[in-house]
Amino acid sequence: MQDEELIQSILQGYGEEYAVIVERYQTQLYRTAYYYTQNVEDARDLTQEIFIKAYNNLEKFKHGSAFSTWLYRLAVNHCIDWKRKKKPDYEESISLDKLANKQAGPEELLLHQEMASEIHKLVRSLPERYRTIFILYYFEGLNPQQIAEILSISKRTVETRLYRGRKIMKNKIPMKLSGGVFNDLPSKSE
Amino acid sequence: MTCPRSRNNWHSYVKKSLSAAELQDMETHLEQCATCREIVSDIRETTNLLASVRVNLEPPTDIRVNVMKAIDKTKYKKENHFSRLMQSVRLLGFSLVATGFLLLALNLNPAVYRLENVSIAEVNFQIGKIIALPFDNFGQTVSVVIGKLDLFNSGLSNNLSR
Repeated sequence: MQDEELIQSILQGYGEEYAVIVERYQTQLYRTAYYYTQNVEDARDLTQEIFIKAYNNLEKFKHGSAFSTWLYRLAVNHCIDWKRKKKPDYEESISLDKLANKQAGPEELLLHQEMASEIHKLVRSLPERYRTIFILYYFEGLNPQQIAEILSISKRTVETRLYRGRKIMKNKIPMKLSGGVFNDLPSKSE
Repeated sequence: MTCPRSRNNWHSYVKKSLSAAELQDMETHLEQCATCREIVSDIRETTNLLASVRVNLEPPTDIRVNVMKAIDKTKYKKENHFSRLMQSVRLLGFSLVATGFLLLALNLNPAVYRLENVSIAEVNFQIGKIIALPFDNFGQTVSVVIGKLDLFNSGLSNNLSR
């Protein structure tokens, strides 16, 4: 069943159908929450809060846009609010089992883990206006148009922030980690 | 930033989300512009680099259970018109019965007594009188209260004049 049909059904009183929506989006929302919280416990709590908030506000969902866009908007705003209000108690280091791409040898694995931690730290250190866009574009695989709809900004702004975000990263990331990926961008001193 | 014609589409191009016309435009431009080709290539490399460090997390199994426990599943259940009508009828019925009891409680004894002793025509007349009785009683009570108030006022003004 499509999202819109499910929402219609829930709004007609079949609340138990919401379990399908939770099942469908929990992985993406949990991962997005994790990028903000950097620990699994808070990410779980945040994901639950987002789903409960979405259910209680389901009547506000306008059927003109995609449900996933509406849900992401709610999730991102909730995560940003959480980040503003609370400093995380602790941040887990990125363990190998959490990395999508696993390398072969033990030495490479260690290097990869080190690089992953460094990059995640850099993304987290970006100013908020770049961080969310970076997470959605590079980690969640959304395109600039989808990000623009989620954040209620223009596609052009998303493109500009992605460009500037890379520029900020370039100034911070050690060259040995990036493998020269940011070479196209003028550095701060230039 | 260079190339104003293409700079707003670099990341969209990499994610293959341009419209057919925009895509055609971008590809034509990239054939001529080495700078933009390099930028697009670097965005691709960054995408691959960050994709390789993307966290691969499975959500805990209790998220769905906890959410379904926390929400009010009947929140959007609406009553249909028939059940609303039935509820109104029920309320009206209760109101009528309550009114009847009230009237009977006020004048029960005279009514029972009359019913045992007079004809049906007489009963109608008596019921009419019985229904009017509380209003008569109320009228009498009001005039007594007004009389008392008058007495009190005159006593008060006498005291003040002394």
